[in-house]
Amino acid sequence: MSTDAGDRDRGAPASIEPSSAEPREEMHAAPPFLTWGAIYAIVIGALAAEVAICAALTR
Amino acid sequence: MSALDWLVLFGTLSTIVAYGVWKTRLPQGSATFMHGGYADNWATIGLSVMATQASAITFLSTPGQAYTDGMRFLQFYFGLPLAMVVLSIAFVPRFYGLRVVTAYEYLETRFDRKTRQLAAFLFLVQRGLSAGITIYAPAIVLSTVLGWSLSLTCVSIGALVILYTVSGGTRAVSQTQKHQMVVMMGGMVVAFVVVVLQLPREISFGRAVGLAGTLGKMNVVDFSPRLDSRYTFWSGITGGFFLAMSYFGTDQSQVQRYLSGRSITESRLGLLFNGLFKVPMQFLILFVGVMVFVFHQFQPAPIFFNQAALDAAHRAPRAGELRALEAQHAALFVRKQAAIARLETALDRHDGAAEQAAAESVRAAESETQAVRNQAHAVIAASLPRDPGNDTDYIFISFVMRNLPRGLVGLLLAVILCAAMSSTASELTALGATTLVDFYRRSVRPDASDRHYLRVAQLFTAAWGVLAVLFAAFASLVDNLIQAVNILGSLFYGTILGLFLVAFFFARVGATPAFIAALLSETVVIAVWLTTGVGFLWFNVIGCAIVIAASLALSRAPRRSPRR
Repeated sequence: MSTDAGDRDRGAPASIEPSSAEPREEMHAAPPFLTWGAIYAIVIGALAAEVAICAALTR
Repeated sequence: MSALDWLVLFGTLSTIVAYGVWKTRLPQGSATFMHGGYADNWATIGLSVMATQASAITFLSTPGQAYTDGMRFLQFYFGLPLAMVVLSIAFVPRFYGLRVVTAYEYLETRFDRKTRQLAAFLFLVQRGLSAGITIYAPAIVLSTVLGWSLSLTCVSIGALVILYTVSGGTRAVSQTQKHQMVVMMGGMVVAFVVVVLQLPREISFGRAVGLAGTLGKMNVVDFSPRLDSRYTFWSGITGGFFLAMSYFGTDQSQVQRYLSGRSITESRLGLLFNGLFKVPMQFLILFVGVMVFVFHQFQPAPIFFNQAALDAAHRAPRAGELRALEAQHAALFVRKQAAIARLETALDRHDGAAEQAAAESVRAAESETQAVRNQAHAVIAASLPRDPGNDTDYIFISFVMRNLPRGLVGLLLAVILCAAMSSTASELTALGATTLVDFYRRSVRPDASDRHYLRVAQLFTAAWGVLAVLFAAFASLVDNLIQAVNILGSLFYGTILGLFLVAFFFARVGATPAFIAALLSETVVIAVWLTTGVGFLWFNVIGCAIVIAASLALSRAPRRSPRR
């Protein structure tokens, strides 16, 4: 992503289509080590584990 | 405070601010000033998002809340990780697709200018007032506890923040927040270790947790479907989700943080980092409060933690009544100690019946202690010209000032001031960017040079900072006003979120129905606020639901065919 891309003068775009020259792959690119599905599963799984630990600590 | 504490405090704050200014010393354009040159990686974004949400009152108030009400407030954050996942999937790609600087720009591409500026205006009103409170809330506590001048404390916090936000913009904010967050979490870990080490030697960590549980402080999760309880698992997972969606998805002070990412991947990972670590972070802060509570089962606590108010009440006509309550409080402490000793003995002997009887005695003594504390508050409130409010915000700072070793007091004060500065900095850059992008550049001077916009962005940021400081330092702020500002926020959040959800998910809704629905929503929410006793957190749900329902209904309304 160019650092000066946002420095250009921008009026209101006329449509909701992406206005940048960003390659579409970048919009969906996941980190090289995991898929997005796996990352979301980790976050939700961590929440489930936190709730379980909190439930175990509840007196 | 010792010289070492002052050294640690000023050393920490000035190093972070100097680093922020130095790191962003190179000249930049107006957009770079507002989005940081799209240079941040996921770790910086994640820490920056967390530092923006963690205001000073988080570190002052949350441990105190655990001290008085237990751990149940943690459930409020259970919806946040789910919201981070939804935002990563649904919101971030849309903002990235248009390379917007402010979230409200998106609304013009989807609807029209008036809808965009309505949402931006609602944000400016709400966040502009909140910025003053973000500075005022810690300043009033610190000035009371440390004897500092309230005005000077507000001006000092505000001046430092204005210095690096105006000079370095968003990049300076992100860079400083990264280090501020490290200081904040490091300080809380140190506080936790110190309080545990100060427990009596015969009390193991497990026993300390057990005692907290006996006294009702380990009420972490409540799965009951009770609607009369403010914090349950169900209200946390739904209400917390809703609030997190509103705050992180539509509040420019947060949107600006993750839109400064090097790529969409970095922005998403930064949000998910927040989703992963927010609950453990809040757990730690609340757990410190619970350990301070356990500490005070073995070391006498003051009857009222706001020492300045207590001292003033001692000089008032009802001082005799207050002294009698203090004597009762001290006697209850001795009785509770004896009951705790019996409980420990019963636990050592694995005597179930004796354990239950001793636990009941401990609970009874604690319940009476609370009743005496409440009576003392009533006497203090009646003795002073103005009710000082409850003492929850003073519990943790009181523990820090009385019990932490030299040097660490300075570190914990740095934690509180770092939190005040980090959240204020995000607010100021967001207010400045929104004023420039959504109003000035859009409607006042659309064709000026970038150098002009940079100067105006800096000017707006500084102006919002000065307004916030003036609001905090010189306005006659009281507890009711703080609550009023919280209510004000909830009055607008629902409508703004509703507009974004309609924009994203209801393609057939046009600009005019959305705009009318937003105005209708605001009118109804304000009417509900003025005429009913509905809790203000529900305003978020009501506002959002009305925008969606009304815009869909208006879109279905038959249109007249244009005559030819």
